[in-house]
Amino acid sequence: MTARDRAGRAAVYLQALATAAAYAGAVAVVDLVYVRRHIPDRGLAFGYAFCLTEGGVIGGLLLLSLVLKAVRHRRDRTWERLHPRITAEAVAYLAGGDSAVLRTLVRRHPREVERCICEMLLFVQGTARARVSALACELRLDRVWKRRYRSWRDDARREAISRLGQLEGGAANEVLLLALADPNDEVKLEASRALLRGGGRDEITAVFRAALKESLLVRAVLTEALRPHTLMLCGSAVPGALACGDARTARTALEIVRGWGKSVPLASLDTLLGHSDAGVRAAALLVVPQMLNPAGCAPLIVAALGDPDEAVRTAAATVAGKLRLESAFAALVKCLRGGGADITVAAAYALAALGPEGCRVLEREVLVSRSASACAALEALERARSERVHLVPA
Amino acid sequence: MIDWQLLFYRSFNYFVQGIIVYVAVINTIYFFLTVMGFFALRRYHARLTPDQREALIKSPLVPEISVIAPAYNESVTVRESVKAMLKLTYPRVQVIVVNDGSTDDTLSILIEEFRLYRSARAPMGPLPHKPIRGIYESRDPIRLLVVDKENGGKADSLNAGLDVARSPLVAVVDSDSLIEPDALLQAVKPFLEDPERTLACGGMIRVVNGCQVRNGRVTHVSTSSSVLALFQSVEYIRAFLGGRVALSFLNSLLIISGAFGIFRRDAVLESGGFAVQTVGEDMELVVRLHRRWRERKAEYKIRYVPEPVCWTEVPESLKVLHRQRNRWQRGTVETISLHKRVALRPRFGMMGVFAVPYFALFEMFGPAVETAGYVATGLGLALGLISREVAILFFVVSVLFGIVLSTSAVLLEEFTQRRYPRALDVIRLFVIAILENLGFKQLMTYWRVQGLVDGLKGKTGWGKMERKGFGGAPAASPSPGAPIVP
Repeated sequence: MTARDRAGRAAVYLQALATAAAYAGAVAVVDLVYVRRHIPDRGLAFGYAFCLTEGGVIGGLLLLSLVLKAVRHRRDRTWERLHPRITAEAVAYLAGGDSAVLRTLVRRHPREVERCICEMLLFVQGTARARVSALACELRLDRVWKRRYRSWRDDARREAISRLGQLEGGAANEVLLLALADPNDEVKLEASRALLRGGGRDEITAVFRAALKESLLVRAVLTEALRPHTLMLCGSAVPGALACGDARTARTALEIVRGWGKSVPLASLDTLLGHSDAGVRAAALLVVPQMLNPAGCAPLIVAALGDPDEAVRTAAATVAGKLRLESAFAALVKCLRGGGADITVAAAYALAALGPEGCRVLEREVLVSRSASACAALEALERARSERVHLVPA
Repeated sequence: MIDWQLLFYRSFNYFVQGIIVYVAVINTIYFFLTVMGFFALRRYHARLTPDQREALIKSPLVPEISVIAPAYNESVTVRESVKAMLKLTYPRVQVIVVNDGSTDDTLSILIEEFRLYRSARAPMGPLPHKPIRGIYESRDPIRLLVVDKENGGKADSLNAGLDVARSPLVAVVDSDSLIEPDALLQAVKPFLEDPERTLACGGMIRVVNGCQVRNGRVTHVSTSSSVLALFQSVEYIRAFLGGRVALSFLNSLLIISGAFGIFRRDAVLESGGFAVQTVGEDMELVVRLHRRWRERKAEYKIRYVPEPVCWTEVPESLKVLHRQRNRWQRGTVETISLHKRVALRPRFGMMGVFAVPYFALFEMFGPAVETAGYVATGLGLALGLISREVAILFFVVSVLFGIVLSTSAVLLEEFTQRRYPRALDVIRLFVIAILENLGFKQLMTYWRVQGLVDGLKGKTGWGKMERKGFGGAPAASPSPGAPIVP
């Protein structure tokens, strides 16, 4: 648990304790100050004090809920009233006008002007977008957002980064790069997306490097965002991560590459297929079908079918089936008969994918064996014959 | 010489005062948990943004999930609920319906509706269960498996489903519940954030009675016209938004509802699967997971996410509700009895020091003490053994504190979730939260006492559940599937 996590948990405990103490204190105050003067019996006085406090708290919360609803309603009405005017002024600015009226408006209605400019940044493109971006800077909104990014509130920081990310010309790249190390995942993702949208090679590489350190949740989202930059990243960033020597980084980089799901111009995975870490070996095997010349790895895949780690053997069997590696036949038969459920099923499906010869082995297995391998063989045979192999996970 | 009359009088008063302290403590703890839940919810709970959702739907890195739904005589609801499960928004999901030897036409409905054929697939897992008669798959390109097995109860069916499943995560759901399309995506978030330590994650269960359902989806959220269903709506909100968020924050969550929960399959298999000898198999498994991981001193998390919503039909007849509450109480008694050694042992962390003793003292024996309080207060007042003030104090701590808890939960719902769009529904829930404590709660307490006695006697069995179907014509269907334990 990090120091920030601990602080967050402590804050929740303290808030809860403070609320409970405030509640108990309120009951005690009502009891001492008001009720006990009228009711001599302590127990009864406490009971009445409790009732009064309870009524007050419930009434107060209901009132608060109604006030919040009213505030929201009022804001909406202000927005509806001002929106056309602000938009008209902004459009006039885009057409070459000045920003004097908008500057006045931003002083009186900062929230509405900010919201309108942000909406425009989302909807306009090209030079108009650059102009709206310049207008945001002219109205000093960028400074407001940068200041807001320093907030302790996660949602405020996320909103600030989301808005800064809309600015053109890398005006906020410095803050966005800083936000890649933010403790909140949402903020990191907003910053990453903004950098990928408008950043250059360095920014994209920075996002990839940040993704390597992140949780699976952030990584899965960033993998999708990084997909259009596959070729560029495979030039130096990915090989660099694979060769860094750290098993976790290499495994994560391989997972991201697998997540891209398309051919990658990686030179060789030989070193990783023989890595000391089983997780790296398994991850490297799963990336082999995406390489430009996967058949070149055939001997290593066959060797991996005899790996002491079952996850590696399962990955090797899956890949052998995908690549229809006939050289893996004998090793696959061995895998079918030995090991846990995962490797047995993967080997059976791989043999089914190898064609008639593989199916004959599976038929024989069904006839002579009563073990898990026979069950897996029968299932794989059925899939192969009904061409439904794709429906079942390996 | 001893004045026996005075001694009895004093003892009786001490007894009633003891009960008052007990009820005050239980309600104070619950109030504290609700407040803590509110702050924890504000700090830690974040919904997936639309961008994240889109990215996760496309991502091959997201772990596959098998949704296991046991079904016993669910012919009224099975069609709609399986359709809803097949429409779940998740990149890689397989639905496994386990027909637990239904005596009605549940299996034939499934075969006909989803064009099933008998597949060669066989269970590969290590868990024991009643014999499987056949595994069916669809001729259409849908990821549905139907396991037809001999009747063995819900836990047995879940074990069969676990044996058939091959994915790293399994979602356990009731086949009579409706799951929101995004529920899996939201519930899998803790597993994506911390895949190595997260063992299980539960989601919020809401009452579907009164809501509009079309094609297996809740299209309009509204409160029920049945007062009994309304009372239960408030109970569910209180249980799921009040206590569970805080218990999850303390990593002491002891219940993941059988209606919706995601588990790491390897962890469940390693722990021996669901216990077939208990009617509270969902709670028992969660406690066992806690216990195993604590024993090996490994770091782990069992989480609750209030967002994934599973809609369940609650009983609208007192008879069925009675059976359900009796069963839930027996489940608690069985689980606590099985794991009583964990209580008050610091090596089991917050679970041993707080959660299990809390459940044993307050959830298990609480109803009995509270009922004793009602009886003693009534008798004492009638016979002049206790003063009017003491009786009022008991009323304050039991009923008025209960009203605080229920109304706070409804307000918490309004401040954080806002699932009921109409103000009228919120006002109805608020009024019901007050009324619930003036009769309904006492009835539930009494039934729980009966459940406690039955549990201590070792009574087993599920009883029957009458289903109306989701927006369909009323029908009756006996079922062993417990909807949930709030």
